[in-house]
Amino acid sequence: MKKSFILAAKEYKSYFTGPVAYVVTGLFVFLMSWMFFQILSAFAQRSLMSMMQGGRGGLSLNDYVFAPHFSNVNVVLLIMIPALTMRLFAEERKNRTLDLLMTSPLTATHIVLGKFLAGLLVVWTVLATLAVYPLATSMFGQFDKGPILTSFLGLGLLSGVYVAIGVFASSLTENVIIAYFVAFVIELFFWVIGWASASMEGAASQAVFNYLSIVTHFSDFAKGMIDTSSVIYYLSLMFFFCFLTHRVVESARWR
Amino acid sequence: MIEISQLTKRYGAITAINNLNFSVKKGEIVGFLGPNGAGKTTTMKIITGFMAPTSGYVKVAGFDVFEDPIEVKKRIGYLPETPPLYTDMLVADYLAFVAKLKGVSGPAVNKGVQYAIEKTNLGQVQKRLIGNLSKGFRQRVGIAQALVHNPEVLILDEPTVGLDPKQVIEIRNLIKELAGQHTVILSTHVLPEVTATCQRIIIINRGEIAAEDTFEGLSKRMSDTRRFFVRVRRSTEFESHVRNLKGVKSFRKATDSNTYEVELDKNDESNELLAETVVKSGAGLMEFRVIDVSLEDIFLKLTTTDPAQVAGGKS
Repeated sequence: MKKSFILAAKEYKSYFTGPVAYVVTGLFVFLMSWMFFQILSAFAQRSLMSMMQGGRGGLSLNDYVFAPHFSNVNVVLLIMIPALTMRLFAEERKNRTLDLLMTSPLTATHIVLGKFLAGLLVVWTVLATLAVYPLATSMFGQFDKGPILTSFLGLGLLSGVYVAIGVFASSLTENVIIAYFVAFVIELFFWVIGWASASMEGAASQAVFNYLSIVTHFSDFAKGMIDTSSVIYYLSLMFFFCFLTHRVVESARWR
Repeated sequence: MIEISQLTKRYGAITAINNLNFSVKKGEIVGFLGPNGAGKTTTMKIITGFMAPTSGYVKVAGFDVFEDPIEVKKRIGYLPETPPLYTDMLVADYLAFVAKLKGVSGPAVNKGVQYAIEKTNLGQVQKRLIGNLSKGFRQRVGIAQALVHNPEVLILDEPTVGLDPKQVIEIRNLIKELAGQHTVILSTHVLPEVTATCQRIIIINRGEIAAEDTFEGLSKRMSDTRRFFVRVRRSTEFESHVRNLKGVKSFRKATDSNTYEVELDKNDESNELLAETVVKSGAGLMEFRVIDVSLEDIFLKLTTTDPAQVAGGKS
C-alpha cells in the first residue's frame, strides 16, 4: 500500500506542477456556474409564475435545481475524466518511464492502485468545487440537505468508475488520444446499456440491463437514497476495470 | 552475483537471444559488447525483471528474477537505453521519488539523493526541472537514478551516450570507482569504453555469446599471428629481403613511404629472424614494434565471421 501512495502522491503532485489541474478545474467551475445560473434563473421564473397562479409557491430547490444540476455534472464528468486520466499510463509508455516502474520493486497491483488513486484524488479535488453551489444557495433558499449529500456520495463513486475506465484505457496504448476516446466510449456505453431493456422481453433481462446502467444507479443517489446494490455496483465496476488494467500491466512482461 | 543459465527469448518467430550462459562475480565490471540488435538490451531487460524470458533462468544475489522479482529489483539499479525521466519534476525530487520507489525510507532517502548527486556531479542542477536539462545532464540524471538506492548490481545500457568527451571520462571513472562495492554490467558499442572500464568482456552477436574473456585474454586468443610495425630509411632493400622471409604471413606497405606492417607467425623464432634480417639488410632500421590487436579488430572478427566457429574455440 505504501508504495501505491508514493506513486499516487507523485502523480497527484504532477497534475498541479503542470497546468492540467488548473485548466481543468477552472473551466469546470466556469461551465458548472454558467449551467447552475441558468437552471436557477429558470427556477426563479417558474416559482414566480406558480405563485402568481395562486400556487403555494416554494417549489422544491432539490427537484428543480439540484437534481438537474447534478445530472449535468454527470455529463460533464463523462467528458472531463478521460482527459484527466488519459496520460496516466499512455505517457509513461511513450516516455519510456514505465521501465522505471516495471524494474522497481513494485507489483502490478501497486502500480495500478497508485495510478487509480491519483486519478481519483484529482477528480475529487475538482468535484470539491461543487460544494460552492449548495453553500451559496443555502444563504437565501431552503432545501433538503440529505439528497445533496447523497448526490455527492454518488458522484464520488461514479467518478471512481470513470477513473477506473480511464486508467484501463490509458494502459492499452501509448497514444493519449486513443486513450481518451476508448475511455469515453466505454463510459458512454455504460450510460446507454440500459436502453437495451426497452427492447428486451421478459422482466429478468430487462432488470439485468437496467441494473448495468450507470444512470439508473445515479438517479437513486440524486433522490437521496443510498442503495447498497448501487454502491456495490459502482465498487464492482471500479474493481473490474482495475483488474483489467492489472492484467494489461502484468502482460507487458510477456511481450 | 549474477547467474544466467540457458536464457532464451523469442519474439514470435524471431529469436532475440539464444541459450545464453554466463555469470558475473561480486564486484566485477562486465562489458556487454555487440552490434545493434545483437540482444544486449533484451538480456538486460530480462536480468532487471522487466521482461520474462522464453526459457532459462536468471539469478541475482541468489534470488530467481522470476520467482522473487521484488527481492531482485531491490538490489538492481537500471539505466535503460532511454533514461526514464519525468520531465515535469525537479532533479532532486525525482531522485527522491526513485529512492522511495526502490524501498528506501526515512532519512536514508536524502542521503541516497545526495550520494547520487555527488557521484554524478549534478549539484548545480539539482533544483532544476528535468525537462529543461541538456542531453548530457539528463543522461547523468539517468545514472544517478540507478545509483540512488545504493544497489548491489548496476545494469547500465549505454551509459555514456550523449555525453561530451570530458563527461565520458568522468562517467567511466565513476563506473571504475563503483567496482568492488557494486557489480556492474554495462553495454556499449563504443569499443574503447570497454577497454577503459571493464574487467571482463562478453561479446554477443545474433543472440549468442561470441566470446567471453578479459581484454588481454581476448586479444591473445584472437591472434595466432603477431603484427609488427617497421619503419626503415631505404625501402628497396627492405622489401627485397623481407617479402619472402620464412614465417611472414602478410606484408603491407603503409601509405607514407618506408613504413610497413608485417604479419608474422606467432613464435619467437620468426620474430628473431625478422629482426635479424631487417638489421642485416642495410635498409636502415628506424622503428620496430609490435602492433597491439585493438578491440575493434577482435570485435569485427568475432561479429563478422561465423559465430559458431569462434564460440567453439572458447573454454
